[in-house]
Amino acid sequence: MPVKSLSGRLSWGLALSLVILLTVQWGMVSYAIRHLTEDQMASRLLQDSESLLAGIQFDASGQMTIDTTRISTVYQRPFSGHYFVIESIGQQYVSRSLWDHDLLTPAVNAGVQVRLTIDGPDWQRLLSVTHGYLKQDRLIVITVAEDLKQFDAGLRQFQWLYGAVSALILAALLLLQYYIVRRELKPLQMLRANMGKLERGETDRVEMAGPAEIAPVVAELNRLLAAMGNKARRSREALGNLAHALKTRLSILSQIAQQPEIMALPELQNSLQESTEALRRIVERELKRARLMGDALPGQRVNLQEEIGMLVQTLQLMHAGKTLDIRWRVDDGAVFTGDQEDLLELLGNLLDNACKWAVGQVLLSVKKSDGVVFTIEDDGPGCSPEELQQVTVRGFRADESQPGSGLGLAIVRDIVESYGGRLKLGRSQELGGFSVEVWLPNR
Amino acid sequence: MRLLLVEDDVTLGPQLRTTLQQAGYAVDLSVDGVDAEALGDIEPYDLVILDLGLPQRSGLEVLANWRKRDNKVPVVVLTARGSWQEKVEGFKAGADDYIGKPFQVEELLARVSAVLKRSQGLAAGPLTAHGVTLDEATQSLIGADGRHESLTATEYRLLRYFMLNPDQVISKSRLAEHVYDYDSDKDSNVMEVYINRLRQKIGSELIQTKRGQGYLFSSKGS
Repeated sequence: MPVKSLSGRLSWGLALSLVILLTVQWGMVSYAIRHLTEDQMASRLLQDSESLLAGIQFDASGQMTIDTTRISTVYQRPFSGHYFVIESIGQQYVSRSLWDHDLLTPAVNAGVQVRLTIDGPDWQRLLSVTHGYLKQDRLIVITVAEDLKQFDAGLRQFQWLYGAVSALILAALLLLQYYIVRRELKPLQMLRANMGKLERGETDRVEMAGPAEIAPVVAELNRLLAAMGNKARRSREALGNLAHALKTRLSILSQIAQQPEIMALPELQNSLQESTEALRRIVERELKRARLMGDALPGQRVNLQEEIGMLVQTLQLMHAGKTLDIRWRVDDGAVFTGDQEDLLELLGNLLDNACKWAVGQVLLSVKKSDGVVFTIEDDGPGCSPEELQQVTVRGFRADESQPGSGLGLAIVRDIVESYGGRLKLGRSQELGGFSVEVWLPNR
Repeated sequence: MRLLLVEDDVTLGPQLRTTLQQAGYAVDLSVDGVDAEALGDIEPYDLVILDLGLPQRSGLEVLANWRKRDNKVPVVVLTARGSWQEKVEGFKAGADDYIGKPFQVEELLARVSAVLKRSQGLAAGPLTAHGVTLDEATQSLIGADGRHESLTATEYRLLRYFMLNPDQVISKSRLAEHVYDYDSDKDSNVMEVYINRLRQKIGSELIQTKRGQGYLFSSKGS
């Protein structure tokens, strides 16, 4: 299951509970109104029934007579919606309004009341109240009925209105809730935007206060970032000091190896020089590797134009004994986010190598390509495929006679690996010499 | 040529000074940044070898301060840290060259010599005038006929200074300042004796005496 956003889940949950609440409320209110109104109608019908009863008389022959003056006119008009049926031992009196229609009348005993919903004339739906009475020792069953059409129409109208108002309220609540969720989750959105900035190296700390729930997270994050940064700086400094101390001692050793007294013992001098050189290589390689930051820390956006410009100036001075044309171009949109020192180490080693081998031209180009690609080319002799194989596999220089540490490529490979990038060695299309292509991914 | 060596390590400093002196340089050694900065401003050094990790004031700061005061003395930075970041910072501060520790003595001497020539506007390669070549490795003279002639330490220093500063009138005191180190006894009468011996070896017309002003080494020939 994909990770859903917090605001999506909140919105859905709240919307669903609101719909359920409003629907149940609508049903309950409809039910209550129907119930109350029918009760009221039934009691009115019973009153009519009782006033009819008052007008019933039995003569001596047992014939039932009804005082018609007591009967309301609505019972006289045909199909008026108001009907009654009076039954007593084989006799039946039906309201004029019923015309020739029969009403379903249940048989009941005296004192029993039955309420029914029945079909009436003209497709009317009727609420009927049937009551059994005893008068002059005879059982009289009176059924009074009233058309429910008006009531049904009223109820439907009410239900529609209630439904419409509920829907409006629902919409308004959903809208309100959407805004509340958005507003309350704003700190999280800001945090997300800040993390993006952090990743892209546009800032080195999360710049926001946030509500009480988030503030501690932000504070802790900033503390961790600062602590990691400080630790990295301190360890770099310590490594620098260590390198200084070790290499100064190594310098002394290599000076001693050239003292006349030692020169007189060539074997001793040789082994002294070899050991010093081996130590130097180990110190150089391992300390440089340890100083690498890689992509462990949130990077800083490096100003490529400025750093490369400075580096090229430095290389011109370092190779002042040689007339070198070092050209470089940085494409628009090419961005490196990482550690500035790592980048300088990477480009410095590659450019220095190119300068050593070049006859007169070195070219550095920086392109954007789902990350960034640095290409360093020279017009030197380049490498044969076999030599390339060796250099690629072992990472050491092909020609031991060329001055220099020979550790350059090995360190370059360490840097590229620590950023999860790729290194490609080959022949330069443009200048004909050696070419190195370094691809570093976006963060 | 007179150099200022700034190195705080108690073993490496004196050792390097000896090596450099054997290579024919007058060398003053300074062991801290503040002292080095003052010396570099007062004394007319031809070149400074500057370690970056110094007590009291870092080498980078010392270098930047010199450049701020328009002190253009050539500086070869000597450092053990060796990161490119530091190299760039060193050149940005005004260094002329850079050597990472540990180094081979030959490499240091070659770089010092190259920077000296560059700072005087001379082409790289051996110092030559009138068919006479100065061999810096053996501190001797190679004549037009290819014959080697040895030079004493002082003769070598003098000749190199002349060859690095051709066609200029050089006073006796300037010569003494650049050929002897701070602690030496600078007797200008002794200088005349050395110059006469040098004239005997390379030919008297190469070094002219400008009365009351000093000497002139001509690169064009008479």
